[in-house]
Amino acid sequence: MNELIAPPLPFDMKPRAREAVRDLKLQQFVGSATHLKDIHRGGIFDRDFGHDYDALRTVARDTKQHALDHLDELLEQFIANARASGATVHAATTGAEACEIALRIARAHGALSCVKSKSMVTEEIGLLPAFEAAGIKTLETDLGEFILQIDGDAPSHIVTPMIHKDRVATAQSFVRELGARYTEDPTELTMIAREHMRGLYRAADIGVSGANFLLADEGAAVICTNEGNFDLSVGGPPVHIVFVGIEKLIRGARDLAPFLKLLARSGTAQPLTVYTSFVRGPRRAGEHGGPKELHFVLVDAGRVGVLASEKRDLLRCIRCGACLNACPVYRKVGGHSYGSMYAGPIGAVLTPELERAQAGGGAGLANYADLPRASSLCGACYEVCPVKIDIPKFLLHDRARLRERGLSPKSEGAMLRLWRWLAERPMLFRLAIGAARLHARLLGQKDGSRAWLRAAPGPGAGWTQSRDLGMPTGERFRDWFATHAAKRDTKRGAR
Amino acid sequence: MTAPHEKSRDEVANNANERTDDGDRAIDALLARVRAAVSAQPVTVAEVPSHAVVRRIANDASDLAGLFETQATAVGMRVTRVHGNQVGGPSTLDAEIAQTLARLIDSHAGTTGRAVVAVKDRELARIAECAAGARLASNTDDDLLFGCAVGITDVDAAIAESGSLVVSTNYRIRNAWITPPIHIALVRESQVLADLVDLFESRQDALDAASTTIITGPSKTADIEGVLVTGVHGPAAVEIVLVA
Amino acid sequence: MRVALFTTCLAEALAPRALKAAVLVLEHCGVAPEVPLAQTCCGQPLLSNGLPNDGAKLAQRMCEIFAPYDAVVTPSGSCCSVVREKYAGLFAEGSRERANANVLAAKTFEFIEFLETQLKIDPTTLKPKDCSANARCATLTCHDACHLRGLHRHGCTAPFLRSAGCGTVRDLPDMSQCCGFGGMFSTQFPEVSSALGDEKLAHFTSTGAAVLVASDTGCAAHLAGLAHRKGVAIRVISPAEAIAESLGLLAREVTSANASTEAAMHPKNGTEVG
Repeated sequence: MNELIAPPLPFDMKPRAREAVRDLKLQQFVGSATHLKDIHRGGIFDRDFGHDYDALRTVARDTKQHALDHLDELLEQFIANARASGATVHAATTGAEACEIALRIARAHGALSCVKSKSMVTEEIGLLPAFEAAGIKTLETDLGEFILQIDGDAPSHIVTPMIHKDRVATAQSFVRELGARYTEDPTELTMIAREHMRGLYRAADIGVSGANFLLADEGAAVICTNEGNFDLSVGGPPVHIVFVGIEKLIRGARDLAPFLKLLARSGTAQPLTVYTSFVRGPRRAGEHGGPKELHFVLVDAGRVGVLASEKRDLLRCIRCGACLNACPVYRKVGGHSYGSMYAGPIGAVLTPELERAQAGGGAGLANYADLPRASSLCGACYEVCPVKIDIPKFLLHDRARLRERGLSPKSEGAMLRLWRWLAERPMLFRLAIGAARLHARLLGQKDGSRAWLRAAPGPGAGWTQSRDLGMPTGERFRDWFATHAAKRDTKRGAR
Repeated sequence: MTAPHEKSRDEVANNANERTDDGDRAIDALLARVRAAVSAQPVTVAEVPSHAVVRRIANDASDLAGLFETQATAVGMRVTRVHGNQVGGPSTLDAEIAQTLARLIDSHAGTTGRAVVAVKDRELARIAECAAGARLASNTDDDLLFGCAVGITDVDAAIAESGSLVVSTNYRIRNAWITPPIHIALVRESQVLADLVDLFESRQDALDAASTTIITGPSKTADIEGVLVTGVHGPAAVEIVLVA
Repeated sequence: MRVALFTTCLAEALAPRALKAAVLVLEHCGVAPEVPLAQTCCGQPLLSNGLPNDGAKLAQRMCEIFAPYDAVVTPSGSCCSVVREKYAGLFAEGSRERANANVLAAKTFEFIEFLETQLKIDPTTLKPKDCSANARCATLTCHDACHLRGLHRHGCTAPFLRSAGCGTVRDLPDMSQCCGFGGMFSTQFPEVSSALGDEKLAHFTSTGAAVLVASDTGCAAHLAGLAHRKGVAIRVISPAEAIAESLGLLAREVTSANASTEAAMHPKNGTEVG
């Protein structure tokens, strides 16, 4: 698997984040794209739902939470109904098992080529490397994923996987890998990819996709795309496999509308994605086109463990990417800094949790100790989440677990505890503040009413690494207030 | 396509049976684990809440056809309205549909491009086939869709709120609406639903097909620097003929 | 009504003028705030950094200290949100501590919020008598603390100051993006933190304003510190200071960073009025 999204563990985020902040191109692409998406998202909700936006999110939150709280029943219904419509249902505890199921199906059909629609779960389980290793040539059909594939790159955003790349990189890859003539025009580049892929759709032995929702009532999957690549990859090949995390289940089409309306608006500021496709069993008698076999591979890969944990809420995520677009940190460090296919705020909480809950048990937070700390806790993610996942709450929760398990810097913990000890002793607390002020007054550079330190000692050193520390030099507030209040009271008494 | 698996169909069937046994065990195991996981945490939402706030357009709203036209245009589709009031009477309505279709096919397929007709409504199918004339693609060719310049379909429903078309494989060639570079959709005004909610509340039959697609615009991508490009995999243009 | 000023440790250490301004403006509005002496830190650094039990001890202190008061006002949006949104969850449901936390949460307000929603101050009544001739008027722009989101007060400072006639209030582009402070995040990921701060400063510069009003002491110290390191001319003050200056309760400060620009704009500025 690509080290960018499946790095060696334990994962160290800091070097990647530092490098990303210095990467001016990345700053420009990711910064401007995420800002625009966030603005458009806000705009379309204002226009279409106004004050009802919050109520709509509450409905989506509760509907999905209800589904998770009853996931066992929904799963049984889905399996029965999917089978009734002629599909085959498989269950995979691990990513490796999911890949093995797919390879068995592919082998049974002598499949040598595969067209794949964009899917986060297939990134998670490493399907593409598994297929390639088995000699099954696999084509990523989503344009962004396709460009990443031919570049040996990895997605850095849930919805816009190549948000970190520009047209020049794409033009160069198309010349190198496809023998295309050089053009930087996005339309021409897109058409080159279209022509390249059309022949491959027709020849593929097997189609693979993910799913955005599973409908228990209908035994169907719902797949949302803007390009239409899912419909082509399910329509042509004789076999189609849908890989899907079990958390995608909802009761049925009757519960679907809030999610469809929220997903497209949150992700790309559209009323709906261009194609919202329902797949309900293989091709039926007398039908022209469609797979003769349809397989659902229900993937656990840690989800059951999350379901059982106090982080069940995380499984509500519908992968709209809004929290990535709104996150100041994601905007600065880009997706690859998170060392996972799930980047940004949701990735910071989901990645360690899924890893922990894997069959066999991963080290979880110990492997991703930086992720919960890489947040200013600004709350923008929670504000934009269409299913109201309180991501800051889970970040705080993880920070506490890190501290309990001794995975945060010891000196920092000691300092914080000293702080608490002082804060319980007002006199000492004030002395400490006074000492800091004295230090600044003696060593700092005087400017107006402040003394500025360029290099603070001890805990202040991290601060002055990139900014000065300005300490006030004048009268302390309490001294001023004591005098002021005395005057005030005298005046009042006199009246 | 010549599928290498054709000759080993029995083998496939055998494998499939074996898999089913293994598969059942795996599914039972998953269900057992999910049951345990569900009960490990308290149920926080006992009832699915009312979805009243989800609806944007009341289902008795006036001029749904007009709203549909506006919204479909907003997402990048083109709408031609056919009222049949050139002279009056149903036969002129048919004639006007035929005329409009012929014009659209001409402009997108020229005189030699082929058009596939995947229309469930018998009456509309006849009109579409006539309009396509000599350009009508035969339905037996496996590569049919990839060789066509235009795909003509009717719809199961349309949605005013979002300007969407709902097309299923029910009596329609799958992907006739997505494979050719141009999609022409025939929509009767009576098929226009107010809101997406109505599709799921009162038109479940539209979902009772091997595949149903809600189409909201031409095929789009903005993967390269966020620049919007249409026609990446599906049609670059969707022409809607909205029939009174 | 007994009103307490919840000073916050950060403001006592770094922004005594903001506290002074808060007192003066509250008095101008007819409220004489008290300053409970035992208050120290609300526990936010502990709660945000994985020490909820330690934080809870400070939360209990806070509940006790502010128990005698009818309302608690603070110039820090962030500390206010901790009291309002985090305290109750630290204690068991049904416990006395939880009940105390809920009581404190219900009577704690951010400074502008208190003026607007509790004292029901019409900001136009805070307008200086003669603004055009008044050297106190400045060009300013506002950055609201992210933690005001949870209080549904994000974006409320600028309109209030504008109505209150605190000079020319320009909109800060992309105001909703975090300034990068984030408490200890600023020292854990200093590169990311300062990159965000730089972006905020660039937006500030683009407004042409001389003064940035930040509704949290942490954001203010972070942005002022970055600007000072880089030599960016900026004066960062709190909303209370903006109002106090506009009303003439406090004279505007002069520093080397703003002396030239502000002196040019307001030649007679300088001496203490308050």
